[in-house]
Amino acid sequence: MKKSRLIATLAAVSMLASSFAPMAQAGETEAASDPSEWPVVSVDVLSFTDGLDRKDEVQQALNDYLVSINAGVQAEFVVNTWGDRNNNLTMLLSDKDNPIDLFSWRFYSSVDALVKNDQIISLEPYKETYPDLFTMYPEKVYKTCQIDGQQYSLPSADSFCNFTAYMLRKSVAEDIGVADMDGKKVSLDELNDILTKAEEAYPDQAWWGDMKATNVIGFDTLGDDYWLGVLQNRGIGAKEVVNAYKTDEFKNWCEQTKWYNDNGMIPADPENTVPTGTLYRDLVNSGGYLDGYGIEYIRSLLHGQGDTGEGDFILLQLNDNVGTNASVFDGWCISSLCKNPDAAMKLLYLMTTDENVCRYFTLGIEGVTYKVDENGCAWMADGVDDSTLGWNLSAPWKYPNQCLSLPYNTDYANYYKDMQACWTDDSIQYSDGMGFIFDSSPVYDQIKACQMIVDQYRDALLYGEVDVDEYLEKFNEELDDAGINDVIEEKNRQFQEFLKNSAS
Amino acid sequence: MAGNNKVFRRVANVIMVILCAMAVIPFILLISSSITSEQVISQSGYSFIPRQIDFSAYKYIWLARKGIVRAYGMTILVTSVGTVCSVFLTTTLGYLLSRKDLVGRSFLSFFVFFTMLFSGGMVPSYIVWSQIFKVTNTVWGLILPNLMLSAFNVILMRTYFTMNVPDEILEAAEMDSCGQAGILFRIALPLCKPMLATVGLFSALTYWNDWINGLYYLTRAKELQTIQNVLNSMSNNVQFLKDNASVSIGLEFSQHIPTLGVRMAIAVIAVIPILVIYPFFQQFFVKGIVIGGVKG
Repeated sequence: MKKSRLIATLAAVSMLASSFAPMAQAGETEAASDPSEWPVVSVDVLSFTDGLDRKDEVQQALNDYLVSINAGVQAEFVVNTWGDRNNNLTMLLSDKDNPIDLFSWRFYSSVDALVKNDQIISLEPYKETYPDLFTMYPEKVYKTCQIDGQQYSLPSADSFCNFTAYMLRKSVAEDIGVADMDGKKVSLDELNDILTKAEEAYPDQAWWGDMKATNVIGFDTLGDDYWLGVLQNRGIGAKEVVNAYKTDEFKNWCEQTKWYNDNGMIPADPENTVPTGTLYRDLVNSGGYLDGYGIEYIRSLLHGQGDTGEGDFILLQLNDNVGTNASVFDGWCISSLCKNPDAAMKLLYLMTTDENVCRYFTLGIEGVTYKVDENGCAWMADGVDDSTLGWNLSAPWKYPNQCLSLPYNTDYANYYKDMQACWTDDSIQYSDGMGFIFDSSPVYDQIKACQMIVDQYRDALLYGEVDVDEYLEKFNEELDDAGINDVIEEKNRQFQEFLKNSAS
Repeated sequence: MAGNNKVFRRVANVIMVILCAMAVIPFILLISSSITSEQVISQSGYSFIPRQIDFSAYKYIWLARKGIVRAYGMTILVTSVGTVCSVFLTTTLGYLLSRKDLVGRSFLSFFVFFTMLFSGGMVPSYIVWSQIFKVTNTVWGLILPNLMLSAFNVILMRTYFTMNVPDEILEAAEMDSCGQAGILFRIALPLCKPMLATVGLFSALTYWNDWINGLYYLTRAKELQTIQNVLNSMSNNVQFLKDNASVSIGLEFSQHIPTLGVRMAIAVIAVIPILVIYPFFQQFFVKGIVIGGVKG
């Protein structure tokens, strides 16, 4: 009798246990009852200037919140200043004892390189556990973070498309009679006419921006900062990889910047001058190029800049909204040395889907580092300034889903809603090269040789400091000698294969 | 003959004046640029005499004073501890190698000399210090790697002992039953003050200027960074702004960064302490390096 009771009890316990089992899916972290036993995931946090004084405070607030929702995971912030980010991440990703678990690749590396170096793990096993993470954005966006069809990185939310606008100081625009063109689309020739008038009226000022304006030149660089093989027409309908430095577009752009330089439209030492807000505040600069998905978005970026000197800027749109590989700015990965990838994925999931978790990263602590106005926009909290803030509010785009944050330092309440609308806007065109990742290993030596030559020549051309015909010819000769044709040929071969696979 | 000497001296003086000017002129430009308005630099480039004096670059650094003061403290701590330990180890090894009766002296000397020609390399060193000695994110990461002695300093020290401490004195001490430690510290070292100052200065300079160890071993504990790391980080941040111009627009803080002047101000701040200390060591330094450099 006793024996049968015992068996019955064991059977009941077994059934009870098995009924709870489906609640924990593969890869999902089950929370221990004691939060001190939860795994701690180290996560990459960006700082622009120095260490973040409120790091511990924000980390504690986030962890308190994670406990309150029984997340089963806690976070440890690892601050990387953007200047040292490259080196620091390399060290952290090789530290077997205490590696960084979750990080993003922007300003550090590419998904391709991270996979080749065995620095990150595939996220494929988590597709079933967190399916919503892998269906939020257009399919082409996910492809930019895939290698051999496997998802290695989760793209960070953004518009995934942009156009280029030219910003011109409003007071200047009013003086030369073009203020009413604000928000309109203009050609480069029309812009040059405007700049000529502006220069005549204000000869001491510069009208300078980022001279590597690939959108204006018309390249999809396929993620290669050295432009060793690009698609023309920003990749729309492009079926062939070409040598950027032998295209008419590049030569025309160099002649354009030479014209800027010859007419005193750029600062004295452009290669060593950083186009930060200081130049706008001091009235050294009164124009420049900016990329964004919408005019109001770009305007809010400028407002976020703070004091830009005398008044506002007008914006002149130069081209259309297009998505390229370069429009996927960032993505998050799990380090291959991570000791608890399930917990890391859980934290990544919360960073992407829980607005409270997201805002600890993007804005810090409400009332301490930021406050919210009646429009739902965030501003720096009362009683703090730049030097006492202790947290970085200027880089929401660094984190997995900025769209869960609040627009910061702007009145543009639809900042993120309009950004999200781009994901489902059928009118936006995408480059045919979106998702193409070049395997550079077959032509590694040629690429390294070409990169050295690009470093030597390109900036002088892009800043209009040399005779274009003479210098460009020499530049191309050296690139030919270094083997750029091998690079283009190989890239083209892989691109054709990519197109074929995409079609099928 | 006397005429030739006179001509030689004049030519030598002219050459030395030119060499000195070449060393000093960039420094003047550095200081001048650091106190020139960002606007003027952007519009007209650098100049020896500031057209418009402006201390914005120093104000920007002043904003980060909390970190800078802490970093100076770390630098002083690391330099002091590191220099004392380094001089001690260099001296003891140099003394040992100077003793003619040391068994295996040639082998040990070659062993030291060999490291002047070939080093282990960055990656093996990093693995040893981080994986075996676990110095990552500790103050030891700033001190221990530089304690692996400079072979050049050891050879200077050994040569100095050989040339300037007569064997007879050491033998007399031995006959008076003085131990080897006593001979070193009570007899040999008092005769080696110029060389101690020289090696001390070399070590101090190495520790003061070192930023590589902080870069490699302080991946999390940024509060342990030395002044060179902080200044290097500031400089890298400014460079990063330049390389990512499109990102810098829209960043609220970027309006406060005098990017050109701040690099110059950083260099001035980093070099001033050494400029202040150097004259006090100079007399020992020259004497030490001349005597120690003679083949022993």
